[in-house]
Amino acid sequence: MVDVRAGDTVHELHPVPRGGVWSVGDIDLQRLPDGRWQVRQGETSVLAHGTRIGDVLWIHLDGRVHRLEAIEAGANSAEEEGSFSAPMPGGVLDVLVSAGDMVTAGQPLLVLEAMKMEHRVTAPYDGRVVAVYVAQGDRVQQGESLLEVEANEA
Amino acid sequence: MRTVLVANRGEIACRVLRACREAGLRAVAVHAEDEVGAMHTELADLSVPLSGAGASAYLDGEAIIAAALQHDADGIHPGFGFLSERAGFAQAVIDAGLIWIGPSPDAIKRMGDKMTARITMREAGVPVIPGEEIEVEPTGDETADLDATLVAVREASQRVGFPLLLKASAGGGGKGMRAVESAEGLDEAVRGARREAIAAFGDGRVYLERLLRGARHVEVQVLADAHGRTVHLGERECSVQRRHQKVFEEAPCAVVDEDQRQRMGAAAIAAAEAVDYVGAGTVEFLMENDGTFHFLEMNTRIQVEHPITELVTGVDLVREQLRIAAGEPMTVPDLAMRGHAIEVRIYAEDPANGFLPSIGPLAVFRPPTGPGLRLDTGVREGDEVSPSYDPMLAKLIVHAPSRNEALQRMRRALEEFIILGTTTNVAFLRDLCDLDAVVSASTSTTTLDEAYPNGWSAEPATEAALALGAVLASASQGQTHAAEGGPSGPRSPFFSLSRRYP
Repeated sequence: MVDVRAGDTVHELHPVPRGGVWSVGDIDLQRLPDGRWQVRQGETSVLAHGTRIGDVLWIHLDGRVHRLEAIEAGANSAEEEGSFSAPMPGGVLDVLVSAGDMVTAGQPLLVLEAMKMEHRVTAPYDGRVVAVYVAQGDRVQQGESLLEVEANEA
Repeated sequence: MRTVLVANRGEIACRVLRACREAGLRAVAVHAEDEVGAMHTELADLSVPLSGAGASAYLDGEAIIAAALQHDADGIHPGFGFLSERAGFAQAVIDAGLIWIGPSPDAIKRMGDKMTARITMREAGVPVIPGEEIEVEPTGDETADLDATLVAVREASQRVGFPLLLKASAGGGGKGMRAVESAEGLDEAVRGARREAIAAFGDGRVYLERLLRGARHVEVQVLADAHGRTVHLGERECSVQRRHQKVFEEAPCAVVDEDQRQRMGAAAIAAAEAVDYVGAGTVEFLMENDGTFHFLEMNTRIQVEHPITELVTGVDLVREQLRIAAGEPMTVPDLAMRGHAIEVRIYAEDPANGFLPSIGPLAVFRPPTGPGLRLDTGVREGDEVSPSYDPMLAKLIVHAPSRNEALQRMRRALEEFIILGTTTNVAFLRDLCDLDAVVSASTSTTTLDEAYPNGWSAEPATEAALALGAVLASASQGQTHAAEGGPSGPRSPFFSLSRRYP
C-alpha cells in the first residue's frame, strides 16, 4: 500500500509487481528499456515519463505533467507539526506577528522576498503563534524554519 | 569587427553567440561564479569569469569592458536586460574604443526617459497616449517636490480624465506605475509612485496617461543602419500579459491589415528617425478596437520576442545587428510577411500558485521537435534552476501557414515538451491555446485577468498518472533519478508552497 498526494487529496493505492509489469487496479505499467513507462488501461496505451526526486513524483503522461507526492507511512507532514519553512532562499522583508499572538486563517504572518518578488506567508488555520525564528532583514535558506503556529482545538 | 563579447547569459547569450559563429566572428562569453559550465559558455570560443555570483556579476560594466579589452574583442553585444539599455555603459564601451552593438547612448537616453520620449514623439508627429507630463522643478527637498507634484497632478488629472495611469518617467516593467480610478485615490497613488520611482531609479518624476482599457499591445520591429536606411519589419501582438510580463506573442497581429501595417510602420520609422536610431529596436503601441494607435515606448535593444518576426519575415535580426554595428548596410529585402508565428515563454514558475518562481533540477528536459518549431533556450537536461536569475527557461516558437495551424502546432509542441524536476508554466500555456480570446484573436492586455479571476489551476491527476505515481513511490530507490547522481538534497519547495501560501 502506498499513499500518493495529488493537490489536496491523498490517494491510497495498491501497486502489485507481477514479473516485469506492475498492476494498479485495472492499469498495467511496464518500464521500458529506455526508462519510459508503458501505461495500459483497457484499450488505451500511452507512453509516459516519470521520475522520483525526494518525495516528489514527476510524471509526464498524455501531454500533461503531474506533480505528485509520495507520503511515507508514519511520517508527520510539516503541516501537522505547524512549522513553516521557507519555500525558497530569500530575505525576510517584514515579520507581522510575534510569539503568543492569536491569528486567524488567511492572516498574513510574514513577508518574504525572493527573486525580486514579495511573497506573503499566511496562516492556513486559526491558531496561536508559538515561536518566530526569524527577524526583519534576515536571509533565509530554503527549508529553514520561519515560525510555528499551533492550531486552535477544534 | 572580428571578435564580439556577449555581455549576457542564458538563452539570449546563446542566441547571439550562435549568430556570431554564423557570421564568422570570434565570440567571447562571460560568466558569473555560479555559472561555470553554463550552456552559453560552451557556445563561445572562450568564456571569461566575472567576479561574484548572480545577476550583479553581469551588471559589472567595468569588468565586462576590461574582459573585452583583455581578450581582443572589438565589439560588445549586450543582449536584453542587464546593461542593454544603460546609456552610461554604452558610452563607456565607445570610450574604450570598442564597438557598441546597439543604438547611440543619446538614443537610449532619449527613449529611456519616458517623458522625454513622449515629447520627442509628439514633435515627430507620432501619436502618443492622451496625457500630460508633470514638469516640476526639483528643489532637492522631497516634501516640497511632492507637494508641487500633487498640485500639478490634481490639475492635470482634470484635463486627462479618469481612469488614468500614473507612470514614473524613469520607469519600466510596472515599477512606479499606478492605475487611478477616481480623484479620491489620486494623492495616495502619487505618493506611492514617487516613493517607488525614487527608490528604484533615484528619479521621482511622473506623468499621466489616460487608461485605455481593452486595448491591444501591438509593437513594430524597426531596423536602421548607419547608411541612412530605416525599415520596419511588421508588427507583433503581445497583448497576453501577466503583471506587464508578456507570455504569449504572435506575428502578425490578426486584426492589422496591410493599410494599418503601413501606417503603424511609418509611425515606427518616424519614431526611430526622431532619435537618429541605428540598430534593432521596437516601437510599442497601444491599439484600440477602431485601429487608433498610440506610442507607448521604444525598446532600444533586441527583444525577447524577436524570433516571431524573424520567422515571418525571413530576416535574421541578430545577424543584421552585427552587420549594422560593423558599419555595413543591412541586407533586408522589401517587407513580405509569410505565414503566422507564435512564441510562448517557458518559465520556471508555478501557475497554480500565484506564478511563484520555482527552482529545482531539470531532471528531464526534452523539448519537442518536428516541422515548424524553434526553441531558444539557455538550459539543458541536468542543469539546476537557480533563484539568482530570471526564471525564463526557454522560448518555444512555432511557424505555420495560418494562425489556426500555428495554434494547433503550438498545442502539439507543448504537449510534447517534457520537463520534470522543476515546476513550469507549460500546462498553463497549453490551456492558453484553448482560451476563447486566444482562439478568436480578441486578446487585450486584460485577457488573463478576465480569464482567470481566481487564478489558474491544473487539471486533476488522472487515474493513469496516479497509478504511475504509486509505482514510482513503491519502486526501489535504485530506479529513481536521485540515485543516479541527481539532486536528492532539499525537498522540493512546491509542496510547502502549496500549503503555506494559500
